[in-house]
Amino acid sequence: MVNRPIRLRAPEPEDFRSPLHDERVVARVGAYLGVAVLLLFLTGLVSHLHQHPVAWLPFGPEPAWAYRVTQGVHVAVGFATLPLVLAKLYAVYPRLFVRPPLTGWRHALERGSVGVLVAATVFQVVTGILNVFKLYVFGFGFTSVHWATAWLVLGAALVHVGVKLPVVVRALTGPGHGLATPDEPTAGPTRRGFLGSIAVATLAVTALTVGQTVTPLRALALLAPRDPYDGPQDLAVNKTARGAHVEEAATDPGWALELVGPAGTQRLSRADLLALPRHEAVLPIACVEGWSASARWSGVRVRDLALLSGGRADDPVHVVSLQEPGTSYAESDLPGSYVAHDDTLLALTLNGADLDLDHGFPARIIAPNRPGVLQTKWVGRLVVGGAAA
Amino acid sequence: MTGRTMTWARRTLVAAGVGAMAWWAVLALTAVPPRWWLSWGVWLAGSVAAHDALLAPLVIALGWVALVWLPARRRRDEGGVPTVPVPAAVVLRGGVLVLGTLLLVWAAASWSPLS
Ligand code: HEM
Repeated sequence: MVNRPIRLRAPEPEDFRSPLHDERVVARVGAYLGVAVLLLFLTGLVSHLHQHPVAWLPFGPEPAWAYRVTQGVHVAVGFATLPLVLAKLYAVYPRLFVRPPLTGWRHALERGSVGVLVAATVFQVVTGILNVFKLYVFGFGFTSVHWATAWLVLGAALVHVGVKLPVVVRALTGPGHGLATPDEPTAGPTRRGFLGSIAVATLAVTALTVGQTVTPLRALALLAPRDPYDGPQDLAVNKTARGAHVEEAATDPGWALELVGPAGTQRLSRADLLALPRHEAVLPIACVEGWSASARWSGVRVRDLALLSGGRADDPVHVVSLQEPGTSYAESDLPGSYVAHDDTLLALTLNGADLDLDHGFPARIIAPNRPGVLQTKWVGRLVVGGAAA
Repeated sequence: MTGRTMTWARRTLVAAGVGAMAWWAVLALTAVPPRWWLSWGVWLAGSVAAHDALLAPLVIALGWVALVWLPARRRRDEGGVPTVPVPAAVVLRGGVLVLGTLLLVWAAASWSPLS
């Protein structure tokens, strides 16, 4: 290459002579990426089904830590996918220049599906990471677009694996599938070295971000979007009272909870609520954006309020906050299994003190195994069971 | 894997994939408001273009300079065979991947309103 005169022309696959571009490397990095995509899809599906429940796969309040783990894994694997995608694209880059670009409709479909796969995967990783850093620069609502694109990634990945399966099997198990083969050069980067670097990059980015979920590793979390204990009452806040435009309504001394149930509508002031039997629970706030932290909450069991309203202890409860109707996460639903749970509370205090305004004063929902966006703050009304209709 | 198993595995994977992509199309039409389609498309195409047209050529060019051109210049007298000792090459290329990844996340972190 050194002695060849430099000609200005588009490169061809053969110009990329490093062993890092061969199928043994490409198939291995692809397999790691495939596992990551599957994990992301499944944990994302869990998050989606929490927020859009279906009768055939209901989630319950146990185990209390489950959502914290699934969404923590989602975002941690999301970050770890960045070096995997970069490495995979680097390894396959020469194939971009294959000649002739299209040999027929099958080839066109194959290349088209790869194009879709690359676009959709890079899109999910780029916008996912921007979203957890609250960089909403993309001009569309994240959740519904991310949800739809997840199906595109999954579909294109399945088609791609289906098309390439013989090559994958050959590269991983066929003769000469080992990484250190006689054709491995004695100088320059090696296949094993490259895979090792991918491992180091993946571990590094994970170590520097995962402390937002695995709180003992907080000290290392130099690149994590959040410190989950940084906020009023030592707990992070996603949406502030000011951001939700509820400062005035939530601090109104005349505030009273409207409790609507089969027995009619009652109004309970904070003093009334504080006078009811209180229960304490240590539960995590587990944000959809991956960070989470445990805290000590106390308040009235939602099932006691359901009973007080004339309903049953396992009636579903519709929660309405003081936020403007129609704004995001202004309402949520507690299914019957959550209402019946010992630790599902209308919380009034956090870590031994009155709730901070940003944590949902005068009252908020806290329940086990539930995305943070559904732990409705600044509660104004609870509608129990059939009364919802 | 026998030829038949392979054929069936491939057909199943491709059919499931086409099914998932069809569901994507349904979601795109029903769950994503039309006013977001344009920016969605721009970001889908844009992130790949940014990678393939900027990031990848930059890394490839860097690799070529560090692993081929520079060593060759140094060793021209020894017959022009470009050699970089394996550990150095691994550290160089691995370093680009590790630092590149961290740099991208750092850029997002330092630009974030959370920082
Ligand atoms: C191939 C890659 C990915 C797939 C297939 C995927 C899939 C999903 C799915 C299905 C959901 C549920 C959406 C819903 O509730 O409707 C979700 C949620 C989420 N994902 Fe991903 N994801 C990917 C990559 C990422 C990355 C890289 C990040 C960030 C590091 C990320 C961050 C999030 C966040 C923050 C949510 C919660 C959104 C919300 O409920 O507001 N995802 N993901």
